[in-house]
Amino acid sequence: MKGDGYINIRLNFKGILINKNNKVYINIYDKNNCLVCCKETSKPYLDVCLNKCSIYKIVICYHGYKIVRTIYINQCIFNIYFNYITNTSNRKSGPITFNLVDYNYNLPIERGILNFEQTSNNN
Amino acid sequence: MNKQVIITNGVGTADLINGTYTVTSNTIGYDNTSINPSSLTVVDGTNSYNLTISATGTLTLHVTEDGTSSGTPVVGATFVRTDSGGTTYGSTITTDSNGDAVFDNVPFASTDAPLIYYKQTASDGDHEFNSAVQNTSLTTSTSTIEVTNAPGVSRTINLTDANYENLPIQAGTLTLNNN
Repeated sequence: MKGDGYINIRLNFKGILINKNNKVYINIYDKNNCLVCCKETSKPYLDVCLNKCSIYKIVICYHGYKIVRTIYINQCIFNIYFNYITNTSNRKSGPITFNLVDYNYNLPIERGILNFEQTSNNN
Repeated sequence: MNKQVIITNGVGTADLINGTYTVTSNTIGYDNTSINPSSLTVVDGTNSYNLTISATGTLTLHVTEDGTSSGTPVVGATFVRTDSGGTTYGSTITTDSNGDAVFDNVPFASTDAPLIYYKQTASDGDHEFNSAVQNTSLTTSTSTIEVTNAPGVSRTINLTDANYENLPIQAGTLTLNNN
């Protein structure tokens, strides 16, 4: 443990074969994009100590694949499904359309502002 | 991580990573606590999300023959909400025995209140009406607008025999359908 505010978390890598010949390389960046951890592992998991209630960007390399995930440290175990992630979560976040209508009239709202505050990251 | 999405004519776009978000609204004229859903999970493969919001104002359209608060009420006139282009939304409302048709749950605000569009779709059959799209805005939670539906003017219909010029038809009935 590093001290107050830090917790040990485990990143589980699912869906890939990991051994001494098939290692996973992990870089972890804080919210200011500063590198806080650079490790490799031949195990299907990695234990790291990170600041609770903080957001980190995790970059995982495996056989030429580069995966980028953003996680919010609110739990101790994060399962990362590699096959799923290589197909989807390595993408840049795409444009998402939000439709806002009047509940009683189904009438499109002419002017408004929606605020989205991220509370957790999907794993 | 916070993102702000500007909504224009019911649609806004933003780049959002997967995750669960708390949604809050800043929509003038509406009850921002009614935003639904207030928690939204963005997932892969779904790039369009629908949200609703509601308002608490009341707009009364008071229909009389002369457009005054004390005029003879017109019963059975119908109205509907529209957008600025005239596309209709929601249910039709009908004037009651007092000549009142009431739109509930409409937006209001003391400043920059959004425009409320509506149009009259019918009168009672004996009065004229304006079917053009109208608009107003509410600066208080309730408001009444006076609407004129003047009585139809008496018209003379002449019916003659087509083969004998100017020969009046002695007795007959014509039915006129208003299209």
